[in-house]
Amino acid sequence: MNAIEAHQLTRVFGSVRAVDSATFDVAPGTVLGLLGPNGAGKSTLLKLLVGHLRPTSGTAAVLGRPLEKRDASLWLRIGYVAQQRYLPDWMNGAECLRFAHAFRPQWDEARVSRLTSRLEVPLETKVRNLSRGHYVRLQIALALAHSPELIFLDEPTSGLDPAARHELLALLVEEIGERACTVILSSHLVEDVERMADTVAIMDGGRILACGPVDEVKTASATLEETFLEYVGRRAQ
Amino acid sequence: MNLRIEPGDGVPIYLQIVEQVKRAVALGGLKPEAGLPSVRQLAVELTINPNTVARAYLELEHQGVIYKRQGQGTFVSSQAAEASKRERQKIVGALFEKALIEAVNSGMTAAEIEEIYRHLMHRYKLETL
Repeated sequence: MNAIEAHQLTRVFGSVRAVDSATFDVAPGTVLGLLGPNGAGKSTLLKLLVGHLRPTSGTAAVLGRPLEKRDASLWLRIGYVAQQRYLPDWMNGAECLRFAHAFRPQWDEARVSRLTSRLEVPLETKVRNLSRGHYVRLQIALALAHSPELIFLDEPTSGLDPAARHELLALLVEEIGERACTVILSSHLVEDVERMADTVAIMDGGRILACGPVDEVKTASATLEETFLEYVGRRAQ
Repeated sequence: MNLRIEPGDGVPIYLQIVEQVKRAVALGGLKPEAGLPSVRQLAVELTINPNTVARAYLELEHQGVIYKRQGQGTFVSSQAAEASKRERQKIVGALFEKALIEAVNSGMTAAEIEEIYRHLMHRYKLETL
């Protein structure tokens, strides 16, 4: 069974088809890199899959559960790092973690303290005062705390300095190696996708323009970056 | 093991690993029966997907360069040393060829080229003048 199966998944906002007929599978234990420029529809696609938005049409199953039949129990098996800020401004990091703990029976305190110290999450700072980098780290600790089978990461490295970015990718590599979890990683950084992904989906204008194993999507003798630019540029013409 | 990968390169990352391990074996950086890092260790070290490292190791195993010993890890096979002799000839031959083309293009004669060769052999005490 695939971790994700999406068929003709579409979301329309007014006259904009933010996600347009997205069809793809993600095998369990693999990493899908979602590559696209800003506004390509990556975040909307992730929101559809995690259940923050309803599709206008099309279907998808996440961990075997169709979108329309999902319930809160699915949240215990998923980790999600959103691009927007959604954590309560008035809480500090430690309070956010305690709050999340209350909803997750499989919370592992030892694991959480390892994560927070590894990611250098500032626990005493109020969310409203966190920089983008520190906010992302707190989100990642929250998303991984309950050892989810499926992790959605929406542009997690954007706004991170190179050292923090490297640390985050290394942490992800360990998670994948230890727990064989499935990861959907959206990024506009070709290098991140090339390092981390088994398969890549190139997205622009709401559509998935190419999808498959990284080495197959790269057109012959071209780099992933060139392939990406070729697809995105071809659309712009 | 000192591997370097270039994600921006046209060459798939798993092939970069395969080539570099083969090169290290051919040039003696990795001796027969030397242990390789585990898939997870190497993935963390290079910050790449563990599946990519696993794929590279599988390919190296298929080519007889490395083998797995149950529960103990991955090692350079002894046949690899033999195979690496050919690989080494290929690598060194290509380097010589590059120098030779450079020499010919710059207008040197065969005698001049041979002189350089003999000087070098002498300097590294491989042959007397």
